[in-house]
Amino acid sequence: MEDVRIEVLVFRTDIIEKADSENIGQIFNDDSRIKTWNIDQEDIDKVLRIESSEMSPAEVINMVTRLGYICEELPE
Amino acid sequence: MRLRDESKEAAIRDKAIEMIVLEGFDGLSMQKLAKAANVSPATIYLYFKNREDLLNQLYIGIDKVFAEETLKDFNPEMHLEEGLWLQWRNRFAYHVKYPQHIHFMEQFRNSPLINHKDIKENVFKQAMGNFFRNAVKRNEMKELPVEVFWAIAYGPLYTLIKFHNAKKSLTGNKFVLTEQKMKQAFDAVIKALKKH
Repeated sequence: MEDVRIEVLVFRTDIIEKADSENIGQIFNDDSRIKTWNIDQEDIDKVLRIESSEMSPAEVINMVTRLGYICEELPE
Repeated sequence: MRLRDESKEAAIRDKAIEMIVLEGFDGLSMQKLAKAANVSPATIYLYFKNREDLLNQLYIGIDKVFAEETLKDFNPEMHLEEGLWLQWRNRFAYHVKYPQHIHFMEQFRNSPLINHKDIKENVFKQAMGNFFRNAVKRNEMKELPVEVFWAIAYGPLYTLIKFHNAKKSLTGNKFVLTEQKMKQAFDAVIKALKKH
């Protein structure tokens, strides 16, 4: 079994282009706290989805907005 | 903390299958699904990465049910007549029990959107392959290419199921597939397949 405490974090973004997604991906891939991530660019909200056991939504928002993109938590 | 809830996930899956059957794959987006299932888009993303992941997960789930239902009491070592009759009964029962699954599978197989290489060879195909080879090895069956075997062995059944689902046959007459009618067709099929 996988670590049950892995949490899914979901955000609305404006990450539209593939190049933008690769730009952000470099940071995510280097972060060992992130187990897996993807951006659903087919979706109107360009949903960023992150599986991590230790990160807070605020930390993710901080990482993404620092690069100049919009990122806000998608409410449940 | 966001926690997974299996009954919620099941409700989302059921709703997605329903939407795909009604509107096709193009009719499905995460946003539309969220609205239809009365949850927020964020909830759907808890369980599925994106639309493609959702579709693949749906396929895998349905395929599992299909294998469980059709392989019920079945063993690839069974003799041709016994095993094939059980397959007829199981497959008919599955079609009656899960009519939406069939529509979903048809859409799925024909869709270029789906990444078919993600889908592994399954237990069902293995069991059916062994069943066919055993029948050949035991010399129970005329030597036929597997496609010809399949067409003769199951074609009549699926035609009858089609009539049953439409509730009428080609002539427009009312039609219900009873066990007796199924057996009549089966007897003709087994005669065509058997060597002796």
